[in-house]
Amino acid sequence: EDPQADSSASPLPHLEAKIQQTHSLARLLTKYAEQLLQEYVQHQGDPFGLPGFSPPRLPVADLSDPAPGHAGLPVPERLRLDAAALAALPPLLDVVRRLQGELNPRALRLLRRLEDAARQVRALGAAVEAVLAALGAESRGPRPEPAAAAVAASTASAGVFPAKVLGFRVCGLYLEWVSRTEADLGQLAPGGPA
Amino acid sequence: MPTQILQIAFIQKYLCKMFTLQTWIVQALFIFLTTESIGELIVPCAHIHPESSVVQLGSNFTAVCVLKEKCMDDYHVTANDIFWKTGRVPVPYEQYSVINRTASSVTFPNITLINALLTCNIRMFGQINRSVYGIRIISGLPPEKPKNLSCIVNEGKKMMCQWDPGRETYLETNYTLKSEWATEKFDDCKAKRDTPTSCTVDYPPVYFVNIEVWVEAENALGKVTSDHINFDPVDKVKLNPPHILSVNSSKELSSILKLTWTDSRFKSFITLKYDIQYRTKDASTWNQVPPEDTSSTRSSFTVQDLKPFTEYVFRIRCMKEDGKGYWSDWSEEASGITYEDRPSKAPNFWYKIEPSHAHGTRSIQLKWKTLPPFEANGKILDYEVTLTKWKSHSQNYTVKDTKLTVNLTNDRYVATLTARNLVGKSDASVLTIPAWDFQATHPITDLKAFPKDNVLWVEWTAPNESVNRYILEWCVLSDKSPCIPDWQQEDGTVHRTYLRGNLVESKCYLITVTPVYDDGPGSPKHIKAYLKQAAVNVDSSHTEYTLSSLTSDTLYMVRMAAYTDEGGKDGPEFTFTTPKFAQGEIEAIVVPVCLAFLLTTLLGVLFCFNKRDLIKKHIWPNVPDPSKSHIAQWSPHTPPRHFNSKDQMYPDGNFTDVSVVEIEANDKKPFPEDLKSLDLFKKEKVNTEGHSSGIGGSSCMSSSRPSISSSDENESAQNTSSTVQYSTVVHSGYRHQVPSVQVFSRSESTQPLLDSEERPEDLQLVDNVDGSDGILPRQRYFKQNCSQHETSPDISHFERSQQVSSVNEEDFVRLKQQQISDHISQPYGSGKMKMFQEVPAVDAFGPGIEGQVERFETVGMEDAVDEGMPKSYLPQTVRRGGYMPQ
Repeated sequence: EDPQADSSASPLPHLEAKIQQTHSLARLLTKYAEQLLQEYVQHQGDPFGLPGFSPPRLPVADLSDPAPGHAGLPVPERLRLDAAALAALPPLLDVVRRLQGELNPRALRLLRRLEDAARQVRALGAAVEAVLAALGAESRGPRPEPAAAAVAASTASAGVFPAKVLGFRVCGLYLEWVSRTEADLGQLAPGGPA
Repeated sequence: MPTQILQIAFIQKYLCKMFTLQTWIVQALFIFLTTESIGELIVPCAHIHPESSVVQLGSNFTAVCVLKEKCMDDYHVTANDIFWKTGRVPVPYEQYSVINRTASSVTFPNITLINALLTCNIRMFGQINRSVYGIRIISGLPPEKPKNLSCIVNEGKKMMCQWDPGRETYLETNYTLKSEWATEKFDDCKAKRDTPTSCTVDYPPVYFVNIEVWVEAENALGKVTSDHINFDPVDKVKLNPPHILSVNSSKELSSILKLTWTDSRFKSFITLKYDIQYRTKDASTWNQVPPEDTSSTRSSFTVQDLKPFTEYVFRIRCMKEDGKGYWSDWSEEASGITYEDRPSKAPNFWYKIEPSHAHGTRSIQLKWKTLPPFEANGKILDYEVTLTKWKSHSQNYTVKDTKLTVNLTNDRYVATLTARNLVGKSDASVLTIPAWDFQATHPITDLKAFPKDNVLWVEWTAPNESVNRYILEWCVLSDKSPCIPDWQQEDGTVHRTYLRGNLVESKCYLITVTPVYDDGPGSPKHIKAYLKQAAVNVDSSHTEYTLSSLTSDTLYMVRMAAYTDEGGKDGPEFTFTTPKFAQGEIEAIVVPVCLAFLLTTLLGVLFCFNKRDLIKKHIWPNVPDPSKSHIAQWSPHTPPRHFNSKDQMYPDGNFTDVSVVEIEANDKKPFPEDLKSLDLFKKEKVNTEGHSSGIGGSSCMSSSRPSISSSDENESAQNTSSTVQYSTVVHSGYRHQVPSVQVFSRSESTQPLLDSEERPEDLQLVDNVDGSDGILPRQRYFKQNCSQHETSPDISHFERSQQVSSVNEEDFVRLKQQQISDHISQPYGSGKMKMFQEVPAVDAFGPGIEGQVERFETVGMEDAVDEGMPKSYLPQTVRRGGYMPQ
């Protein structure tokens, strides 16, 4: 096959292309997040796979659910919130991977997905911040050190089920936030409502 | 020390490719070699600087050997005693430089490609050389900056990057592919030794995130990094090919096919474009769907402007719509057939008038050509033929064949023909069949036929009138087969065409061109032509030429043409027919056949000559010559005329078998034992009639039917004359008549009895013979037969018989008078069977049987003597077998 592409990418894609690329990434990660949550549930046993199972939405350190009024905020603000949440997700996903490594050491695909998800969400967060920077909207400065280690220690000592619930909660948050980011970037993408 | 140097050289072979390890080992070796005593601390006698020995090609390299004081003292040497070697070759002194008392250097200017051991040696007292240290020198080049770094992400697989490493370094060079995001670095990808120009990363690609990639090349002489490339992996993707689901035709439109496929799952994230190609099934080149029609993501496409009822093959590939990345591989091919359309052209239509005996009618064979697929546009179901006579109803025919024979009146007809397929009918071909008295006119002119490019072209000048079409017919001209024309049709505008048939070379074709007008066919024109004629070039000095390789019994046409530089001119044509047989061909067949026949005959004659005895016995056996018989000699009543001729027949005196049979005279009373035997014989005769063998047969078990003496006189005579059991001796009475006891000399021969055979009245002389008392002699006789098929005449046997037998002339005369012709062949079979029953022990056909026979004969004769009765005639001295004339 004759290569059709150029051999080097443009050094700094312009804003529209960057938004488009980030939006595509958010869409892709949303798909991946759905698959991750499905895979996670499959490996946790009952009651996680039962229909109607809805564990309490326990608060997770450094990360909260998207606020109900999120959609009403200006896009840059929403993106800032998205970026903050995306920045908090990787250490939590790492914690979940470690816990699952102990609980389901043979679930290699799940472990690999968790590892990839942490890396990918980092990339998405960086891309959102780059968009914010391109938009002239600075992020909110240095974030506090994530308390993931404390979360892992406390959860591990609490028992297996809380560890599984934590993972379920983190995976769910991951899906919500990348989905939210996709929607927010869709406001900026060409053809979007924004 | 020479041994130690050898060890170095030996080790050198194994250290060539492992530079680092080599250096270490070489140094260790020298440490070992220069150790002064085992168990002491290992201290080398000298050192070479630099220890690193990888040298860049083309550079100058200088090494310094520094002796240890202790060695200098121990061996009484200084730097002046140092000399250098590369491998086993001493380095010229011009390259040396003594720096001080302990150090000597060597310089290699503009070093070339090298991989050798450089040793520092000392020459001790007594001209003893010793290596004191060594390093391996390897030359090479630093890596060039890798160029043309590019990456590809095969969908579902990990990213692979490749690059151009540049020039050969001659050194072990490591290439490392490095990659990172803005947020993190990925693990290095080290190129394998066997594929130093590419590397596949370990992590899965993440699309829509730019990644920066570069290559580091490093060897002992340096390290260099390629340019960094930054790209989104989605722009380097090579998607999986689409999978064609279906190719569907449309009943409404026969020129389209709809192609549907499934894409990569990736299509929900990126826009794709497609490349669709198609071709007819038998074609080799592909047609391309315009790219602009397939430049967006889709899952189906309708290809247009296709031929009806034609199978097309499709393939498709895809890539990112913006052109970044790579085309996928082609999909698997899929095919579909466009729907049928009505035939696009009317069939070619012509007719032939066949001979008809009915008055006032004609037999017309209408014929037409099948439409080629691209004109049939489907499967032709049938043809419709309509025949219309002037002011008359039409006759319609539906035909599946391509010809139709109809009987028409002599009137003018108009025939139309249409071809029909599933969709519809073709246009009609119209053909006017003129009335029988129609005079065809307006022929074409200037008809020419000539071969060109392996086809036979026909060219003509059109008549002035408007021609609808032309019909070209052709057939092979041959004396052996009739002209069966093939034909084709051309439009009325055509004046030149070639014959589209399977024409063969060296055949004369009669070509007819007929113009067809509105009112019927015009006058035809004919021409003869060859697709290819055998042509020979003959030198102008010759005035004759022999044509060879001609087919027998074939009509040939010869034409001479003379050529000059300016051109040629054909001479007149003449024809000849080759004969059926070549000259001398008949003779070549007949003579060998005759010779073979003669040879076979000659061989047969020779064979018969060599085997004449055997043949003579089977075909013309010895016939007893009555004239030579003892009885004949003895009997004064025997007319000598009967035997004269036989004297000459057997000059050698051979006859096959002779035995003595005693037969009692009819008038003598048999002894009771004899009567018993006689009864037994009679019974046996009844039982075995038709099975016993003639005595003259060569086989004792022969069952030759005619050998049995029949009770019927005539039959007996006939049998005797036909197969003639000359040895068949009547030993019992005819129909219970008691035969007289007689002694016969007999022959095994089945030869006709000649005179006696021809004169049954003569045979009557011995008819009245009764052999009731001749059992034992008969047994002997049979045993003799069984054991000796070709026994020589045993004269002594007869002589003995003669001695022991009494001669009774009166009996003999009475015997002659008795009518015993019926007995000639009568009871022999019986006797024979009886003999087998009675003397089974004698049945052994082995050696010594002759002696046994003789013994039996003696016994038999003794019996006869003991009885003291003249029961038999005197021994019949028969020299050549056979009966005495009776």
